[in-house]
Formats: sequence, structure tokens, C-alpha cells
Amino acid sequence: MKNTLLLLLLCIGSIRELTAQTTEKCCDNAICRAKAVSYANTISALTKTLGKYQPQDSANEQLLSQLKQKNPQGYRDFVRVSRQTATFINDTLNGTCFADALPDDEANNVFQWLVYMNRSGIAHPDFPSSEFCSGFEKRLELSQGAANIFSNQVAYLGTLRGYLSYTFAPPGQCGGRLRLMAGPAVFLRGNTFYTTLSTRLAVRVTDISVKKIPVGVGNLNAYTEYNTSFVHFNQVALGAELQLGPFGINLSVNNELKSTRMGFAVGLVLFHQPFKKRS
Amino acid sequence: MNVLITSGGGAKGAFSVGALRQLMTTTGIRNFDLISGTSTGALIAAMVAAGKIPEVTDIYLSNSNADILNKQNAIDNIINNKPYLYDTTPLENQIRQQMTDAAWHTIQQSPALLCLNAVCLQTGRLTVFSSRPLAANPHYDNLVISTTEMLVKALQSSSNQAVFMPPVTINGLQYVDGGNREVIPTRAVVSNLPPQQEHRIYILSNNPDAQQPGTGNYTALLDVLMRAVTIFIQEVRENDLEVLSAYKQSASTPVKVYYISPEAELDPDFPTGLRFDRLLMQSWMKQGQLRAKTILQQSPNGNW
Repeated sequence: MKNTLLLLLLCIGSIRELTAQTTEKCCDNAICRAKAVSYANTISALTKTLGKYQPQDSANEQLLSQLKQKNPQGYRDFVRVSRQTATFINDTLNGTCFADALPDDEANNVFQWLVYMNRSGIAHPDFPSSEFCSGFEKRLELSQGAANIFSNQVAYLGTLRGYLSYTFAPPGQCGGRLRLMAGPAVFLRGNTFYTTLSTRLAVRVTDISVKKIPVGVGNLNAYTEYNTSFVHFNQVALGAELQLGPFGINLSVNNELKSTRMGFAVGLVLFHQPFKKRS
Repeated sequence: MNVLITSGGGAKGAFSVGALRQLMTTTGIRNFDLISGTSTGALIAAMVAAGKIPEVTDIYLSNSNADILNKQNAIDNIINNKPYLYDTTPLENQIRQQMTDAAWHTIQQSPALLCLNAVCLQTGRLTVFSSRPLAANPHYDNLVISTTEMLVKALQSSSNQAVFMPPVTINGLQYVDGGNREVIPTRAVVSNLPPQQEHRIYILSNNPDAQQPGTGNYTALLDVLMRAVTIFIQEVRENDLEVLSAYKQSASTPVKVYYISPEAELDPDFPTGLRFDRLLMQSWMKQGQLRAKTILQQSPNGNW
């Protein structure tokens, strides 16, 4: 009992220490501050050797190649330190101790070179995803294709599905990865109708955005599904979907489990939207 | 009187914060008598009035885009008739976190007159939200802030870039960024400075003084749009400064103006300031500090 209590107290102590560590600003922490000052001293010495940043990229490339020729080690150091410094500023620094440690006459030059060397990382504003928003949504989907495509008994395949969808993401936020969908569906294969339960698991692969403004337009997701009438019709499918706002288009290949008949379907998402409008 | 004017410019407000810190260090000013801000400058102005200099520094160094805006699906927004591209819930949360009842109480008790600019979509007029009543002026409407909630709404209105962010409704009227009519908020200042007194006006602008030349041929739609926005902002800024120039010429007592702005456009790719990158903001804050240091040292009687 005593040991358990001691362990519990130690745990509480560790959690408190962790919380204190996470809320402390880098510039208020002696070790972190020293690191910031060290980066400032190193990078400012290197940019002094390199020369003054120029508005034209070609002139900067020339300065870099001159350094590379004259002092290969200095060039490698500059590339490495400029990346490390930018990472440190982005991930750790939340105060002015780095900037304060730069000599006034070199500070602008340092920052201009840092931005230049790391511009691929800051070229486009990084906004959170606008896709796969949390919670329940409804979907209606129509698709057409063919069943039994690898035999001489190819048949028309058409479906109409209504889904209740749930996306896993923090409440009120978008950017989830996983979506579960389930709902009734009607399948027409050849001349036979099947009323089924359709279930689908979708994973967001990537977003489609306009980077310059930037706004979200849609996403690309991959999915697997299982459709069953519980008796005669049992089908699994793998597919990919381009979702554009409430609309979408998808392509899937399917396999009927008992007969191992392969088929495909091209689907149109007529709507996929929340039950209540988001603000 | 010591007057502080802080311009709009989104993330580029980091420049103004750097300049402000240097200004307070060099001059020893702790409290301004009149503080006027637009957009990101309104947020800075309110923080200064509330005595939150360390906090405003942290905000302009540690924020990322995700701390300000939620990207939304443009197709969803168009279909659902939403008149904006981004959700501003994160920005609102930040404003509410800073502008508490205690902060509003500090602003009320402060000798400083706080003015926050917005533009009303219905009237098309400049609206100045202020901590105390302003002198009447044909160029603006005045709404006196009476509660913490109204202060929050006024800040949301002022910092609300039309089309990008949702308009803010106050008393049935919709408000957007004051920068649509005043990037450098001078009208409320010149109309409310007492005559027969000396004034020192410190302008923190995060856009360069002169129009920057364009680069090459503009062929892409968004490049043309961004360039047009830059030119529009420049025109508004020049008009704002003409208002101040006319006041300075007609004033019977000395008016010293310290105009602190960057030498070149801070973020040519995103002139509206919607790029909250920590490295860039560190850089802009340092630039602001150094520009302020130079100007205040070289021009003790003003540089404008």
C-alpha cells in the first residue's frame, strides 16, 4: 500500500514537472536560451563570411557557390546550421532571445539568409485540413459498372446507396483520417435486384488545395467496403474517391465472395453533407 | 500627448510589435494617451491599452496559421452561400483569451483613449469603436465600447479581412476590416487631439512607405489579384497619411511624427499578411526593432 502511494505521488510529481516544462518559455530556460544564443553566434559568424544577402536569387547562388569553392567545410556548416536554426525557431523558440543575441549590424542579413535557405518550407502557408470534418453526415451515392467482367457472362451492375457517415476527428474540427459509413443500398446485377446493407471504411490520403490563397477544394480517399443482402449477395470492394465538397466521384473493383465474380463500379456522390450546417 | 497608431497587415504585425518594444525602451513611454489601430494593428492597440506587451510579443512570435484560421472547403462554402473562405474560430478564441473582463477593466481605467477601426458593410462608412466617446466627425461613425463582449466583437470586426473571413454582426450591422478604408488609422487621431498641446505621434506601419515595383509579367489570376490588393493598400495608406499631413500643416503647436515602416514589402507573396510563419515573424519583429532604433536615434524630432 505504501509503495503504491509512493508511486502515485511520484507520478503526480512527474506530471507536474512535465507541465511546468511545457509551459516554460525557451528564453526563460537557461539551457534553451544558451542554445538560442549559440545558434545566433554561429549563424551570424557564417553569414558575415558569406556576405550580404542580395535581392536577386542569382547573386545569392553566386555567393553560395563562391563559398563552396573557397571553403567547402564552411559551406556545409552554413547549410546545416541554417536548417537547424530554422527548425529550432519553428519548433522550440517562442521568445526574442535568438534575435536579441544577433549583432544589430548583422541581424537582418542573418534572417534574410535564413529565409532564403529555408524558403521551400515556408513557401506556402500551412493551414489545417478542411477535409474529413468530425461527426455524423449523410450521403447519397449512385454508381454503375459491370459484374463478372472476366467471363462471357458480363452483367450490368448498378447501385443506389444512402449512407450514414461518421468521421473521426476532434470535435468541431476537420482533418480526420478515418470515416465509417453504413446504410441501405439497392444493387441491380443483370436483371436481379438485391436489397443490401452497405458498409464502408474510408481513409483520407491527401487534400486538394489551392496553395496560393489557400483554400481547400477536396480530398482523395481510399476505401474498402462490404455489401451484403445476408443471403445471396455478398460483395467486397476496394476503391478510391475524389471528393469535392459535397460531391465526389469514385472507382472501385469488387468481388462477390461466393462466386468470386470480379466487377467494377464508377460512383457519383450526389451529396455528402452534415445534418446541420456548420458555422 | 503621446499617440500610437498601428496599421493593419496580418502576420506582418510582428514588425509593429518589434518597433513598439523598441519605441517603449528608447522613449521610456509606458502609457500612450491615444491609441488607434486597424486590423492586426487593432489587436496590438488593445493589447497595449491593456498593458499586455509580453503577451502580444508571444502572440506574434508563436502563432501559426492554425492558431488564427481554419481552412474551409471552398466548394462547400459556395454551395452553402457562406460569404467567406476561412473560419475564424481560433482567432476569436485567442481574442477572448486575452480580452477578458479584467483586460477590459484595465482599458477602461487607463488614461489612454483606445480607437479600433472597422468598416460597416451596410453603410459603407468607417466605424471607430472607442473606449470613450469621440469628437463627432463627418468621416466616421463612432460606437463606444460598453462591455467586454463588444470589445471582442470590435476587435473581430477590425481584424476581419473581407471575403477571407466572416463579417461580424453588431447591432444588426455587419462589419469588416477597417483597412478597407483606413490602413493607417489617422482620422480618429487628428479629430481627437486637443489643440494648443504638443503631440508626438508614433506610426507603426508594416508596409513600406513607397509603392514597390512589380515583378515581371502578371499572367496568373491570383498573382494579378495579389498585386492589385498591394496597389489598393498603398493607395489607402497614402490617403491616410494625407489626412495626417493636412493636420500637421494646420496645427498651431508642434506635432512630431515618427513614421516607422519597413524599407521593402515584408511578404510580397502574401501582401494581405495571411502567412503566420514563425521564422518570418521572428525576422519581421527584429526588423521592426532595428528600424525603430535607427529612426528614433537619428530623428529625435520626428522623421515625417
